[in-house]
Amino acid sequence: MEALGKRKRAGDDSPAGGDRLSALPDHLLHEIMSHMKARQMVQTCSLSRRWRRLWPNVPRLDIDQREFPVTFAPDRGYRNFDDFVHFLLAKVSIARLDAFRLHVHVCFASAGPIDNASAWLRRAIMSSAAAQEPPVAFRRGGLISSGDPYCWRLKMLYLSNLRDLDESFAEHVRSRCPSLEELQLIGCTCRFRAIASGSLRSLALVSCVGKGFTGIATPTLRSLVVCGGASDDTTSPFVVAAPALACLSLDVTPYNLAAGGVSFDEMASLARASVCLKERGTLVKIKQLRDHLFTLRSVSNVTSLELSGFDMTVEEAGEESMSSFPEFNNLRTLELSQCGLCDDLSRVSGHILRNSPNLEKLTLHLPSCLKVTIGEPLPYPEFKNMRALILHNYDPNDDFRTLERFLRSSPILEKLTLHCRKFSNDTTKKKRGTSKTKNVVQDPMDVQRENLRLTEIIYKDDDIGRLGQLLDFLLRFSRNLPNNNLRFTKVD
Amino acid sequence: MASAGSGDEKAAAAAMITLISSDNEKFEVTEATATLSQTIRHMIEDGCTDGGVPLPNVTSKILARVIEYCKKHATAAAGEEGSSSSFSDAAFLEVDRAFLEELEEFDDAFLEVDRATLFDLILAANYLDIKGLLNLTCQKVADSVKGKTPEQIREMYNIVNDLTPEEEAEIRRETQWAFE
Repeated sequence: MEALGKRKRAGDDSPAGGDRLSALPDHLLHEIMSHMKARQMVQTCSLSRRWRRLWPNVPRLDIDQREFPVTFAPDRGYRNFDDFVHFLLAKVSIARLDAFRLHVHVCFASAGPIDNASAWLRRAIMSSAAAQEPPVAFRRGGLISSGDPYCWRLKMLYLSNLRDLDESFAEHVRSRCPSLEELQLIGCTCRFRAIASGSLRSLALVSCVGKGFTGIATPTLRSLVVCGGASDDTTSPFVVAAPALACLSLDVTPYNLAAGGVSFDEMASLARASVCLKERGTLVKIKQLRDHLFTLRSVSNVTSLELSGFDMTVEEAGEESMSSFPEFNNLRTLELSQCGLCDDLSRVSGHILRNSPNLEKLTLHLPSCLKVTIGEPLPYPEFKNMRALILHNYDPNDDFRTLERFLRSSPILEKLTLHCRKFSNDTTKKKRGTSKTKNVVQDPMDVQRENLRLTEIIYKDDDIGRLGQLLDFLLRFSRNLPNNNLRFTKVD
Repeated sequence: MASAGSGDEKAAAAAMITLISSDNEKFEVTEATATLSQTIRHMIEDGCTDGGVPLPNVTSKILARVIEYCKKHATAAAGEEGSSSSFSDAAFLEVDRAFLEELEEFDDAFLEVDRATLFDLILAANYLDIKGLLNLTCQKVADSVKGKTPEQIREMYNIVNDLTPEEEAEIRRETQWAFE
């Protein structure tokens, strides 16, 4: 290979097709290099003279320890990586980058007495704070804001597994990153009080450890994700002041930042929210459920909501009076998993459905053991606008009563999707099934669903008998058969 | 597919723009498709698109491909806007998800081109300022050299190594940490 290269260099000046890549202007080569991880990106300097001095001016830098081979002597591997980043950051100033990503191995920080990765960042922050002159204006026309010579022009910052992000980091984000729009911290230890920014639009805190981290204050924030992690304070609420928030995703565990509840400012433009309660048993024990019901109130004006883990009675949730339960008047799309059967007003999920009069699409992940109240209609008004109903974990053994009740409540339903659970061959279940066969809809004529256009049944194993019964049942509900497509799909 | 259909209907009512390639071929496109290009968007805003937009840097072959990309992605952009502002069609949101997957498949298939075309697309995306297309095509080039040695990259792209042995040694010294 080496020989071939030498031959090319010596003789052939215009190889077949020519070198279209090197012919691109600098800024396009930088664009391409921005899509490479740092090590590969730096290696391009040995391609030819054209490439030699390109890399230090790349606008986006993606340093990823996974690019380095894992050696049998991790100490040595880490030292090489440490050297690499040290030299790299000496050549490339973070201050003039558009985007910076730093991913170190989970155990990198614990390999030495101090967390080098956090130290690189701290030094970069210190050196820009100490800068007397604005860094040389970057040639792609991206002039540093002339007012403040210490500012970073970063739009995106992603940090993974940095174990020592301190107040100086938070202060830098607050006052010296006027263009920062996206901040993603994964597996980082946050030793600062708050994230505040006047420009941030998207913030993700994934598996972060909070040490004295109490809140977020960003008037421009549109999207917030808090997921997993831990916090040294699981009793006081995490304070989110983000009045422009449009999209919220919240994972609550008994140990993370959201454990003590989240207190929100008024969020008039919140459109989508997802709230997931994990390890609910522990949450019950430490009596935090009421706080999380409070979160529901904060998100009650959304149009799209996804809830998981709200399988609890209103009493458990510490809600004494039903009248104070939030109303979801804007809600169009709702997905509930691990929230129970939702057919009972003593439960939180039942209340959510009762208070969502404008639902258009409902996705329900049904619990494994059903206690269906026979023949009763659902204890709340009809869903006047419901057009799509999706039932997961649907059990054809319950003789269609769950389905019947929802069909009765959805007069203009257009689309029905049933994801069947495995048909049970268990004898006790079969017995249960046969004993209930009598309770199949008495008079289907009063629940014709004329708008039903598409019915999908997704099942796992063949039980022709069951499927036949289900088909029979569905046919009785839809009058305009020629227009109702029935589709059976088998999955593994 | 449903969202693609409705997008087309919406587009049919919108204004049409004529794009003229370097070899004088004319392409009629909707404004929604054309404005994926920031360059053309600015021209429209300045009101200088009457009589067509001449694009002297783009051949008809490449322009046809670029328009194919913009058509597909303009529909996607319209769908996105619709879903964030109102959920009137919420019942069929899962169709959107399917559409996004379809869009990804489209992008993958779109990139199945020879190197010369790929570079032409990069230059066109740059000239027309179509961010998504520039990203997509540059990513493709970056992916193509992933894990390759400098020598392999030179071979792939006909890069002539004009570094003297002394310079090569110097580079190795300077950036040893990147090659270890």
